[in-house]
Amino acid sequence: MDNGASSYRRFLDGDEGGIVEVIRDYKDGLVLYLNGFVRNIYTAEDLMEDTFVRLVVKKPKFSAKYSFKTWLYTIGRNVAIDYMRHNARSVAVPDEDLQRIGSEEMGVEASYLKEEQKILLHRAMGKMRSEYRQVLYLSFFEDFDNGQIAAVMGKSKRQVENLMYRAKMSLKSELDKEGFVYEGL
Amino acid sequence: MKDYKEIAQDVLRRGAKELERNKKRQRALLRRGCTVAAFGLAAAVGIGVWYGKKPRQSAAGQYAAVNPAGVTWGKDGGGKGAGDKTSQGNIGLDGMVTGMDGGQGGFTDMDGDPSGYGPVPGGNTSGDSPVFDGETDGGFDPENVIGNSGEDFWPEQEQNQPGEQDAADMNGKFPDGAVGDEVTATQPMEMISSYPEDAIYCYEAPKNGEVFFSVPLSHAMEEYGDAVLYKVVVDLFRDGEQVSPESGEAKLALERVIELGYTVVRESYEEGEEVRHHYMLHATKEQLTEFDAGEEYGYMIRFFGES
Repeated sequence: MDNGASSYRRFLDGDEGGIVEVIRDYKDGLVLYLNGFVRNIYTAEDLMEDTFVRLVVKKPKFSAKYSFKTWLYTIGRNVAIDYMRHNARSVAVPDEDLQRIGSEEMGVEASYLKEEQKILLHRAMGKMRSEYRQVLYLSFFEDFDNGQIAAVMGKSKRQVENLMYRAKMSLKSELDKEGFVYEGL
Repeated sequence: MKDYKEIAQDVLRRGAKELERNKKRQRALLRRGCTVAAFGLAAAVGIGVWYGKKPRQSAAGQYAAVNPAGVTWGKDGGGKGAGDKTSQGNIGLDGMVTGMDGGQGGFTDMDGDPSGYGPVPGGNTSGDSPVFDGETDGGFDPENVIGNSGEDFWPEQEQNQPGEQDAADMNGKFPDGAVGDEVTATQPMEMISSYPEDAIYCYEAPKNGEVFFSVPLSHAMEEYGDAVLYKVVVDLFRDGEQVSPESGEAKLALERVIELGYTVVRESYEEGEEVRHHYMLHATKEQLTEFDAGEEYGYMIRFFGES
């Protein structure tokens, strides 16, 4: 059992400090993952908060079939899908906001990804399809295996393998354009 | 981006608000649910009362219609005299059946019965329409209900004295029950034994293997369905002619009916100075409609006293 799971259990037992620890440990990764859906760091932050609110209100039971992070990201994904369903029409973002969004995203990247190479890789992924971004993010930055990715994305392992292959091909071509080489591909 | 502590505070505050909202919503739903349930319950009770009263009202109506003719109904508990019974004179069925073979015995025994059917189609009936109170029957003791007991429940074929209870004599177990006690007092469902009908009907004798319901009984089953028990007379026919209810043949045939799971009561009633018998069936609509006649006999099922 990882720390997130034990913290969450404490929260279920009535200790609010447990959820504070979960938020501390998982908020940045969740924001970057959700940003892959909505391509807006502020919306991703709101969705991250909504994900934790869902934990607080519904208090879903965590079963140790997968890691706590896999389970949390699955909830986050469901929150994001709900959001996108209710906001099917994309909202135009003013230019000045786009600049702020960019700087905010860079701040989160810097604090969470830390390594320069990973930050560059994450930015290159920003131009790809949403599904490619998700599968690569979970694999490169969260170190999820294909089974965990399949659980989070609600796909079969086989589908994830195919998706991963196509996503890597797409990423390689993006990186080639910028003259950047990543050893993991 | 906000600090994780700020985020946690926001999350907990929003969570608390949402929980409070959910509780309010649940309370509102509960209130609405209770209101709807109360209305539903009131409606159900109202309908139940209305339905429950209906058969009694009709039976009471019949009672009022017949009583002026001088019929005395056994309601007095221990009555043994003829006054507790329905007498032929009260019923008044002069010349009701034509085309009857008086020599058949069984059917002529039922002269006091105004059912009006006969082996010859077209037999006419006339006379008043005697009807019984839906809840009382002179000469019937609810204790006498037999069927499914597996015991030797059939009585000896002997003539009862006027006013005596048949089934009480059957196996010596039944006490002399109070004549005319309310049947419904010991029944889980309300029992009806009549249905108001102005018309006079004439029936063809049922062929072997056939079951006929009288028109008033059919109408009663349509109206009340399975909400009540029907206390009906079973007339047995073989090759178009009625089998006497006093005969051993009738007894055997009715034993088969009991084996099928029906409740059969042998009742006595008076015709003038004579005491007659007939077999009564206490059954639901479903039991009546699924009645298996077998191959040997035809069955006519009717209310006692219907015309």
